[in-house]
Amino acid sequence: MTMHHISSAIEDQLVTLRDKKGAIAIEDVSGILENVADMMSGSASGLDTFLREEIIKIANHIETTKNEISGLVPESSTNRDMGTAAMQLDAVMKATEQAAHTIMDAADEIQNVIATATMDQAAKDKITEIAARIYEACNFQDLTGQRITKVMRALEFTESKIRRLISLFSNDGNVNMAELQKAHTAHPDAHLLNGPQLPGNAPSQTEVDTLFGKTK
Amino acid sequence: MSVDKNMPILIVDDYKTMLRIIRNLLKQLGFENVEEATDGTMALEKMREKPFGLIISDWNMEPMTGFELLKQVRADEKLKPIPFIMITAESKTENVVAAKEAGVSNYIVKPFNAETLKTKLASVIGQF
Repeated sequence: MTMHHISSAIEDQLVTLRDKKGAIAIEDVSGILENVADMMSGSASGLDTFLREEIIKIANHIETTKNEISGLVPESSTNRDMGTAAMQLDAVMKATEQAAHTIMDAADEIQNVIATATMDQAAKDKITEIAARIYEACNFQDLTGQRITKVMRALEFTESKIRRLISLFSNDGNVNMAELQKAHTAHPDAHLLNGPQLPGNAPSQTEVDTLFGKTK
Repeated sequence: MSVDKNMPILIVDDYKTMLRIIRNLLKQLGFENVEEATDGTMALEKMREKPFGLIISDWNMEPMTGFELLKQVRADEKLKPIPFIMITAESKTENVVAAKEAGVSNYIVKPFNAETLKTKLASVIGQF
């Protein structure tokens, strides 16, 4: 029995009662709830079945997402068959790190060639400046890495909870609530670990400087 | 007083890309005596082994964050005078305020450029 069925059952009984008596008293509502509880009890608990169905839907959605993420990993990677979505994202992060280092290696080569090249000093300075900008642009890998790490942590947490919930549903449909109530220890400064802000929300260096100057 | 460009600088970040970027930018500014650590714990170990003239640290690292590192440095009588610049993607008001109150010397938000690093460096260690 799903939540939809439970809601419909309650609504039907309320309508029947209203049509019959003209008004619904508190005692009538408790009687309806007892009827619904009876409907739900039995060998297949309605609420547990509903929960199991919803958890399986979530697990299937995670599996679909993992398959989509695997498309982001380069064909040459040996990591395409990894088990969890978090591992897939880790592979994406490693690929972007490798790309950033390749770009910086190229910028280093440019600077090395310029150092010994026979050319106009102004042109040398300009090319050196451009090579420096290439380096600065590689900031991207740090920020994408932090965003991906946030997503990975959320996925790891969700996947582990889903797996645990599925394993905790025993054959008779009863959930072991005591097992579900695991303590979660937070980092002491967790409220300060937010990672990069989304574009449009992130303050500029100038705004941060103003705040920094005002803070004692 | 002129700045000693040979002063040892410790850069702390768990991303190798960022360590490389900061090292390269410092080199362009004339600072080549640079060591690296990948989290606060490693940084503290290095600081207890040898003196550093400046610390440049990220915030988000495990097992010890840059914020925790800052607090530990400022709580240590021997380490507390060392200038400490935070370079981080953490840009919320509460982060800046918390870091300032914990004694950070300056605060740079990522992504940053060479000019910003130079300006903040100069504000902390003197013009060079």
